Amino acid sequence: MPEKEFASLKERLLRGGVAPRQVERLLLELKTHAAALLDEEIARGQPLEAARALARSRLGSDDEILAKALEQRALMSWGARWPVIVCALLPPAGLLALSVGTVSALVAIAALGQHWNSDPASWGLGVWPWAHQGTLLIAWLALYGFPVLCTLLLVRYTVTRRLGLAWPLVGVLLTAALGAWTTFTVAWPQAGAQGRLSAGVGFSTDWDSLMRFGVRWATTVILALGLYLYMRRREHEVWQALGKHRM
Amino acid sequence: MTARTSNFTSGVSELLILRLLSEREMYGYELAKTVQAVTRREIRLGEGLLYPTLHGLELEGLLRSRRESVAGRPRIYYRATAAGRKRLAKLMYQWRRASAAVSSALGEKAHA
Repeated sequence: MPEKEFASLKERLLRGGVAPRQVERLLLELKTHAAALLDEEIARGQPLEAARALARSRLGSDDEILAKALEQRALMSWGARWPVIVCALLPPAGLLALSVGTVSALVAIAALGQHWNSDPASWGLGVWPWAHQGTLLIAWLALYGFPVLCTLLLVRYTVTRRLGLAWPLVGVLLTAALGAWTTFTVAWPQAGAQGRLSAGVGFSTDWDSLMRFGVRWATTVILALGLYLYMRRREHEVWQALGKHRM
Repeated sequence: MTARTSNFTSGVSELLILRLLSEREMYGYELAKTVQAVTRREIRLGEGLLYPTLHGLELEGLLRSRRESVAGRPRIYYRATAAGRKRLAKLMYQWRRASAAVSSALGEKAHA
């Protein structure tokens, strides 16, 4: 059975909304079944090419297999079943959860540190210099890294499942906006003053804030769209290599 | 070779699959062969069409599977779960009622 033929079916199943895991498993079983049918036809004395054609006919056409797979809603990816929730709402919600989780983890670590070190004077840089740098790094990641991470994961999810761009684009724009609105500050404990970790979502109309918002939002969106275009181009090249027109 | 049965609906394939897999576990190729054998080749379908149905039934919890490699080829064996056997009983009841109704409409005598 030509590998190309299954590659075409794979692409059509993905474009139909079947989850990649299900597609891989389906193709694995189809290939195994096709090989068994081929062996059977050859054992009956058919020449190789005729055996191939008979095996393919017994397996069913791509159209039939595709139609049967699309009947099974359980085989569809979540993004194909609930595009608004998965592509538009889940990414910003995920970013929010990631940010809240990070702040909570840092607060918990700080609380544990205070519990073990009851002397407030020793909470500063002298005791845990790595903790200061580490906290700043995590804060930087939360501010700039998490929105990019969430949008890139969304883009990868969208392309690997061949989803339409509309809802994922809404998801990217919302996630980038939420990321750009998020503030995350760390005030390290000083002698006589307690440290403070804070996070929030806010929007300011002063020019500097608007500029910062715009740069962060645009950076995230551009990176996400860049990855989307790159992945789609590669996918298009693969599809063209199969000698098929885009669906 | 009998022509492929075009009206082999998903309900009927589900019924046959659950019936056969409630008796013993089978992999796809074996199941396709058995379907042909037990239906005396009256029901033929593209053998590849079994797999989407098998996967759908498994995701519904009506079948469970295990993977094994035989002579270098992967095989996925399926068998019906307790929920699958319950569904089978329901489908068989529905099928018998529908079949009796159609027979009645065609003016055939009911089988004893």
